Amino acid sequence: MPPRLPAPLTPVVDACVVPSCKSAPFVRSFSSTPCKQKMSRARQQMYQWLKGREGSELAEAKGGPRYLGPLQDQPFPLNPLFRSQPVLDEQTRELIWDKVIMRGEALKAVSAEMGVDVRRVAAVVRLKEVEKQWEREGKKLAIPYAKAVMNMLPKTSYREGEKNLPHEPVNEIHVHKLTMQQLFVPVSESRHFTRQDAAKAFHDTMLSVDARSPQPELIKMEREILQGKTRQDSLAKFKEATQKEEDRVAQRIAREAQREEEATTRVATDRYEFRFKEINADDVGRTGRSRKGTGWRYGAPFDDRKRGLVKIPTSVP
Amino acid sequence: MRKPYRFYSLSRPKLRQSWNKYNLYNLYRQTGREPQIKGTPTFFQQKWAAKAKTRSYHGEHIPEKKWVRLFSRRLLSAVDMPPEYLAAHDGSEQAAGRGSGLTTTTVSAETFSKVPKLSTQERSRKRAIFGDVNKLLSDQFSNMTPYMQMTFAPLERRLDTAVFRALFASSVRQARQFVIHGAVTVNGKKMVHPSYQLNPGDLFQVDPEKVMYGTGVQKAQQGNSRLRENLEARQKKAEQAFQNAVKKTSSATAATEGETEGDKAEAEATAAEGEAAEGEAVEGEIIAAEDAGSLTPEAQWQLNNRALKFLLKDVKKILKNNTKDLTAKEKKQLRLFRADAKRFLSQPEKSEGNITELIDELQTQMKSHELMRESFEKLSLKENQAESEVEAESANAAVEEGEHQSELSRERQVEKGLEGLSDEQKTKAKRIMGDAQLSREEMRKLARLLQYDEENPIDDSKPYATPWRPRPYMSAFAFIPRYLEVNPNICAAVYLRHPVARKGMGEVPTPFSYLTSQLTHNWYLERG
Amino acid sequence: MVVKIRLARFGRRNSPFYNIVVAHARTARNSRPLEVIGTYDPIPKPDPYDNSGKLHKDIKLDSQRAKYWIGVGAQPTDTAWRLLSMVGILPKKHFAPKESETKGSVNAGDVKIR
Repeated sequence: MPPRLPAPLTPVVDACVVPSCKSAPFVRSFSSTPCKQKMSRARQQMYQWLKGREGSELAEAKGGPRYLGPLQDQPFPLNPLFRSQPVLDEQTRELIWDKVIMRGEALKAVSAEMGVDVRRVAAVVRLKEVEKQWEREGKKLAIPYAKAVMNMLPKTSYREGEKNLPHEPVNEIHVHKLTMQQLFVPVSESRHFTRQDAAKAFHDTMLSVDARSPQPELIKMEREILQGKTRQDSLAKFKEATQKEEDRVAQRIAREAQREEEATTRVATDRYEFRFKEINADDVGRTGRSRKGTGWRYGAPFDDRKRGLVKIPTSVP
Repeated sequence: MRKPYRFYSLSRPKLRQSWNKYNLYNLYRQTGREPQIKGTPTFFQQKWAAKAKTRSYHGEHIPEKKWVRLFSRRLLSAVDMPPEYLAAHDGSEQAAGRGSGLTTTTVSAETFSKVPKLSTQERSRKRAIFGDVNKLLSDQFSNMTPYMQMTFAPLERRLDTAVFRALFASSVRQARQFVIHGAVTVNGKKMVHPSYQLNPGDLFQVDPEKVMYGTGVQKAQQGNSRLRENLEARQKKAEQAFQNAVKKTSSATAATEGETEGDKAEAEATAAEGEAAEGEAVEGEIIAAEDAGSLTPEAQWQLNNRALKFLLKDVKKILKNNTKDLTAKEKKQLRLFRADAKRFLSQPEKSEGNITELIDELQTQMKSHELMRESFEKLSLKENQAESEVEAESANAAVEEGEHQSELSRERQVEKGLEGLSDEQKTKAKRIMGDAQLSREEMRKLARLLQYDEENPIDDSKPYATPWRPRPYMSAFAFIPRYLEVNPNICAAVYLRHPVARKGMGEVPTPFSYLTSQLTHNWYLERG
Repeated sequence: MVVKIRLARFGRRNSPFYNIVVAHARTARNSRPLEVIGTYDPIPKPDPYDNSGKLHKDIKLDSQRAKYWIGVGAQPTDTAWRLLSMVGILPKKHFAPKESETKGSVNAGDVKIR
């Protein structure tokens, strides 16, 4: 920046008339013009844009999602391969929770009906349960935050009794590592070469898509429909099958919990509860080095401080 | 890692995982694009540049060595296999007729899929730069699985990144701080390691206060000093009203021996006391009405209006005639008052403040001044007169009425109108209403206001500006990738699965083009 | 030599963790014991998703072996006794210093201060 021009002469002259001026070197006059802001050209342009139409639109965030990209749901202008996909709205999540917890429908049945991934259904229920617990405890929810966020996101909403588009594919299959290679298998033209055969061609133990599907009951139901059964019948059958499977899992979990409970003795003192778990001292094995053994092990190397090893927990129970 | 010098720069722009406005502007002007090919950059140079660019966005706070350890050349993808297709076909239709060079079928899993496609609706058409590589590549995008966009997928598993992606923090560095400071729990247990690798099914939860702080508008430097002053003034007034009420009731009970009335006054008194503690600017006007104890709101409002008009006239006169006697500051105050008063008189609903406040403010500021004191004295005289009149009226009315039934029915109506509010808010509502009869519509409006106040209160003790509002420019960054399921009410999310690529879509949020990501991936493959 | 049931401290600084071991009395604390019959985590922990503030301590114990060792004359230390008595392997014992009853209340009138 060029040095600022000296201020108007009069005050200087005034000051220097007084002889003591020379003994005080810091007395100097200041210009009365407002100091020009130090702003680079790029910054100026930025503020121009931010204050302009597009910038102010983005700042306000009123009336639904608003992204930078040229496409409507594209947040990054350069990457059309990433889109902001809709999330489930509040009512839909409430409905899922209601269906699973209150009406006792199976997760898989809800998933198939609403077009939401099974894992997502389970997660929604889990989160809702925590929310309800908070409400019961009188904890304060982040309602203003939630409202603002849901306003900015694209949403899918499921209305009961209407025709709805699915939220996401319910039967998504991971591409298996073994199938990532190109493979040339000479097959006679007359051969009926199915998915099972293709899987076998990749690897002997490789399972076909049907076996790896998270919704085998749903496939079975569709097959039955194609064979000529009515949709209602097979749907009822499907629901029954999923319910049965879920019950089995629930029973198994309950059994495990009960077994655990039986093996523990709870002793309540005035400060803490002591939980005694029964173990078998022989689990350490003959050498005393077995991995199943209880307690800190003797003589076996303990690498928890070694360089290059992951020190932080890898999972939380 | 330490935050680099010039984190958000305009001269040497780098994209960051942040909602900062500099970053927004850099995104807007396509900072991360592949440069036009000038000269002959070697493949190595291209890869280096791409790597540098992408790494300044993805895990910029992680040392390169750690990221290299995380990098995996195994990229995940998924295919939608509709059950209808799997039921109808066994896959042999794909293989049929291949030997003869014929395509015998157009059936594929995709034709059965009912999932809505990605939108192709353009918001605005930008002019394409001639020879833009990105543009040339983009023709194939809808038909391919963009594996290369998944290069940084392992970083999305990190706890701090997931917190940022779930919109609980405004940048990854902030998310990391939240984790380190112990505001994040995983599966109900505190987790202080930002590099914790989430497993599918992990539920992480962030302290809502921290989230509101991170994503809300920043607090002003001095806080709401104006608001605080208002509140203090109101508190004083409320105390005064309380004392007045006590005096009045004592005299009233002596006169009419009505025990019930005494009870009522007591309730009123406690209510007035309670008001002192609360601060709601939303219903300022209504509250002002009940300051005068037993006055009905309408009467009080009229009284105030009259006072305001009176004062306004005086102020105008002073400004016109006695400008020389006033200091600059006083003049300024007077003009401000004049403007405020005018606005208030023309549209009383819209202005936020209330009359008494306005008058009080003027009073405190101009007390010293001779001219104004005169007018104030006159005003107080008049006010007292009016007050005594109204008081007499209301006393008569009270004696005449005295029926409990109407009161009961009204109470029921009030209860119905205020359904769903907490007890605290209900008492507040009753206090605000005082003796006024509200129509159903008004009641609903009041309930809505109170609800809003309860959800989003004004609280000076919070570290963010209250009532809470989202940060500016938040919406441009507001997206939640599908591998997370978020419940914003409790600021919790579940990491459902690892991010995958599927046809036409890579789930890792990255601002870079396919070409850049490809070069980066090649860099980390360490081949050639 | 006396066989003892005692605790062996493992874990890190500020995060103790004990093995409940059966060992000869004169061997070093953390040396290889005759047998590890359990563990004791002295740091109280809450249940996940539990906001009631109640804490618990986890103990693993092979009670059969503990009974056996006591049957053959192993001597538990005070801490080990306290733990074993909780599950009823040993009788309860009061470890705190006894309130001595001989020291009665002091009468202010009796005391003379010069």
